[in-house]
Amino acid sequence: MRVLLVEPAKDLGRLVSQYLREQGYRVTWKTTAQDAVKAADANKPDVVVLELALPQHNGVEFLHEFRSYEDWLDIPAIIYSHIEPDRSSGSAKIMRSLGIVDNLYKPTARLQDLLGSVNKALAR
Amino acid sequence: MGRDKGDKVLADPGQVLSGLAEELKQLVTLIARQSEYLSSKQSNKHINSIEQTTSSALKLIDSYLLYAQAEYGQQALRLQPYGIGSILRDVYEEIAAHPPTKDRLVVAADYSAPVMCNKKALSVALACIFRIINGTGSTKRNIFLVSHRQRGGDIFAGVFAKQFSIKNTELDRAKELVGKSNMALANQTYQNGVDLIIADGLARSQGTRLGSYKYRGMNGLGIRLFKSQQLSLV
Repeated sequence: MRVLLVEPAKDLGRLVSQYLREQGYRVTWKTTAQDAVKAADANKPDVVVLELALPQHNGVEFLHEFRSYEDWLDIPAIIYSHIEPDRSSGSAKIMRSLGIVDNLYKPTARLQDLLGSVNKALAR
Repeated sequence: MGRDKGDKVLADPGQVLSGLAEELKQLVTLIARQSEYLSSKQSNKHINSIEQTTSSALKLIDSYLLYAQAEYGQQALRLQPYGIGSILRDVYEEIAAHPPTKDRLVVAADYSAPVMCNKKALSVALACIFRIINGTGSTKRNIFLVSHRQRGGDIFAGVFAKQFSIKNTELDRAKELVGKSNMALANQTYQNGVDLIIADGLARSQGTRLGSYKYRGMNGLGIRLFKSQQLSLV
C-alpha cells in the first residue's frame, strides 16, 4: 500500500516516512503541493497524508486540485497538521467533499494515532 | 549603533511572541514524535518521560496562543451556554491523561447547570490554574476541580487544594511580577506564574475574572461564571 506524505518540515517528514515504512507501507514523501501532484501522477497513492500549511499552495488548495483528477477522487486524505482542527477543517460537509477521512492535530496526535488513521482509511 | 530615527517598529511584542510560540510548537512536536519513535524501539522510562514533558510544553504553548488570540486578536471570544459539569469532565480527562495526576485529581461539579462561557477558553484557563496549584506543596494530596454556587449566588469553576492559599491582593501582586521575577508566586510555587497571566487573560476575555475562592475548607483559584439565561427560559 502506498502513502503519499505531503510534509514541508524535513525532520518530521523523514521521521514519519521512516515510521510508516517500518510499518510496511511504501511511502512517497514530498514537501510541496506541486511535487506531490507530480508524484501522484507517477505512482497513484492509496492514501494521502497532508500538512495544511504548505509553501506556495496550502493543503486545501492541493486537495481541490487533487480531486479535479477523476482517477484520484476515491483516494482518502488524512490531515496531519499543526493547524488546530477547529481552525482548519471548516464544516464536516467541506471535509467530506474533499475526501478528508481524518483530521489529526500534530501536537497531540502520536505517530501510532497517525498509523491507526492510515490503517483505518485503507480498510474502508 | 542604535536605532535611527526613521526606523519603524514592524511588529508588536504580542505578534512576535505568537510567532515564536508557533515555531516552538513545531520544534517541540518534533521532539515529542522523536521520543515516541525512540521509545517504540527501546523501553526506557526517561525516553517515556520526554513525551510527557513535551506534551506539557505543547499545552502551555497552545494556552499562550489562545490567550494571545483573545488579548490581541481582532475578534472577541464567542460565549455560548455550556453545562459546566461537562466542561469539568473534559478538563479532567485532559489533565488526568498522565498517571500520578490521575490518582490525585477529583472532580466536584456541585453546580452543573448551563453557564455562559467560551468552552475552549474556560477549559484552557482551568488547566492553567491546575498547573499553578499542582506546582505547590505536597505531591501526595488531592487536587479538586470544582464548580460551585456560593451562598451569595456567585457561581465559579476552579481548582482547589489543601496546601494552597492566596488572597486576591497577593494574586494581583503576583500578576504584576510575572516576567519581572523568576517566581511571581514565590511563597506558593517555584513556577514563574505565566499560567496566572494566561488564566486571568482568558477569564477577562469572557467578561469575567480570576480570583481566589474558598471551597469546603480549601483555598483555590477560580473563574466567576454567569448562569445561562437563555436556557432557563426554555
